[in-house]
Amino acid sequence: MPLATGAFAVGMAGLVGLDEIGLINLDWPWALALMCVVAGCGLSASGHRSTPLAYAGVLRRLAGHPRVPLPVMRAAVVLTAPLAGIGVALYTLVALLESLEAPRALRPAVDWRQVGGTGLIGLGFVVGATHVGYQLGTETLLWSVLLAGSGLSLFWWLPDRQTRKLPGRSRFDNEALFWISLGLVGTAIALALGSTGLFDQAGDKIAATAAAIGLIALVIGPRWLRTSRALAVERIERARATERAEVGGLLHDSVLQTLALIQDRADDPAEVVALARRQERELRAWLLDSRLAEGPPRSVATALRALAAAVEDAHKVKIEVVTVGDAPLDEQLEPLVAAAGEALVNAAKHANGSPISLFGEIEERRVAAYVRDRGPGFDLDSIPEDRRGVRDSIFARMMRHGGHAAVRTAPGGGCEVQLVQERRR
Amino acid sequence: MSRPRVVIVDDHELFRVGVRSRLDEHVDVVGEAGTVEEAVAAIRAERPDVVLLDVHMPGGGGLAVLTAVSKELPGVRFLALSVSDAPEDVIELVHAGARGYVTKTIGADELADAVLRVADDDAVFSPRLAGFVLDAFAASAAVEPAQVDPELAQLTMREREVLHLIARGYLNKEVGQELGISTKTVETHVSAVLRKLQLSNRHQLSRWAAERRLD
Repeated sequence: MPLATGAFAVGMAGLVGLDEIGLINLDWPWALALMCVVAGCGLSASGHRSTPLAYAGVLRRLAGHPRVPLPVMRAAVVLTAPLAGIGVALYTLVALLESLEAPRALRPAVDWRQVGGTGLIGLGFVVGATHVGYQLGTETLLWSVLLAGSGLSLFWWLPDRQTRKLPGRSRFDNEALFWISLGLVGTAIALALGSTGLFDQAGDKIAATAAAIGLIALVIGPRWLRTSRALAVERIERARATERAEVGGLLHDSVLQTLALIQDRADDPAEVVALARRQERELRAWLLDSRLAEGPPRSVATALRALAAAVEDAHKVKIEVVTVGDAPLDEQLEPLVAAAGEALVNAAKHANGSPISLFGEIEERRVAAYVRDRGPGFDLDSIPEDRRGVRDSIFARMMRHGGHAAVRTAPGGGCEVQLVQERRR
Repeated sequence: MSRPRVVIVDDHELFRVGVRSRLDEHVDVVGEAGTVEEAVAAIRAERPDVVLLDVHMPGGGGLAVLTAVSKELPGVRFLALSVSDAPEDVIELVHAGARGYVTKTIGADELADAVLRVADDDAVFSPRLAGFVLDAFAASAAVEPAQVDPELAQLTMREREVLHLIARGYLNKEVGQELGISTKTVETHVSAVLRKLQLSNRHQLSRWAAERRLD
């Protein structure tokens, strides 16, 4: 690097001196172009060998995609640069599109010496080309496009602040490139503004201001877009992590616990079945809850289900709950639910382990609950007065609240308690 | 009746083994499958009388199997098995042509009975499915009475009574005794309900089912 700068400075000084004392008649553009190319080559050569990027690395990532080799693409960009900056403009466009998708952390390190060297070589070529008339568009347009394009494509591919501080990345490189890119864009803006004739006409002023705002938006826009995208991704990931933690917590507190208990009680089948049943119910409730959190906070259907769950646990029986419709649990319906609970307990005691059905039918005008067991059943009339406590309490409770209850049973035919409550509007 | 030939489709091998051992004394289990592709291949090769079909499997679930083979093999009957109580899953399968639905917690004898009944071309309604259907028809009648084909979408009084008793936990035989009709007539009513379910507006049913997820 020092060698290149030194050569550039000494060479320029020498040429100026020789020109000054009249020994040579310097053709300035040629001399400048030559010096730029020489210094650029020197600067490039002194860069990190490990970074194969010439500039922001856009072409290297693109290479092979349209089946065009890297050197051909590089040559195409440079050769079309003097033609109103077509090559550089295209390069900038690709850089923009790509930078929107590329995650920050995966970006290759950019070496400021490679960038500077490539820039100088390109500058030398364009200076020479325009000198021989290989050019398209006005000078202002050409230089504005070249400066803005090379600045922006660099800027978009710079790592952000956090990545810049990662070990293995030269902080100086990134800081330097940041300012280089801003300088290039700033110069382009100044050039575009200056060429409008120093704001002598209103139209020019508007055009110049619009151009400046557009360039500034191009500088800030992609960065802002990427940041907001990164934020959204982060938010989703955080939500996922929370959910995972929740599932993990559930598995640990409840499922693993149950499995341990089951291993412990392996010799007690009834207990094992009860444990498995409770676990199944908990998981089911959890799954449904997470799928649909809202709904009536305490509805008749959920109350019936909760009652059945409690009886299943306490009496180690299987209760199949079916409900049709639903309604909020108000004081009108609470007696029916409580009576259904008593009927379930009663059925569990007499069902001898056979399954019990609970059917809740919740309609607009009327709510009914049916508790059916397949136990031995009995003859209703043969029950002595003093043994009718439970059923009486069910019946009396329903009657008190304007509902009614019935029991159907026969020896060997199981037993069904029917509870009906008309709903007042 | 000869022993029906059965294919068991479920992605959990342990469960297949369990079902097989439970069913072995009543039916001939001629095939097992753990994936949708295996199931389709096994059903085509064996042409069983009954397929026990798990609702939830990777790769489209029981519905994918059902839609793949039910048209070309109309003689094969499907009985859906599920741990899920989600009505949208169950209704979808029944709508696609399953002859019934039972939960995986069903007892061994009940499962064998259900398979035999499906093999006999009867419909098998668990109390829960009966509840779903009552709910579905109540909902669709309440929502758009004008747009519903009255023949199809409405249950007759008798059908409603039959479903009501099944939901209360009555077996078909007990339903017959309760209503004073023969078991065969009960089965005819249940089959009629199944046919209405399969012919009714699919869109309406799935919308209803999605709204009723809480069950």
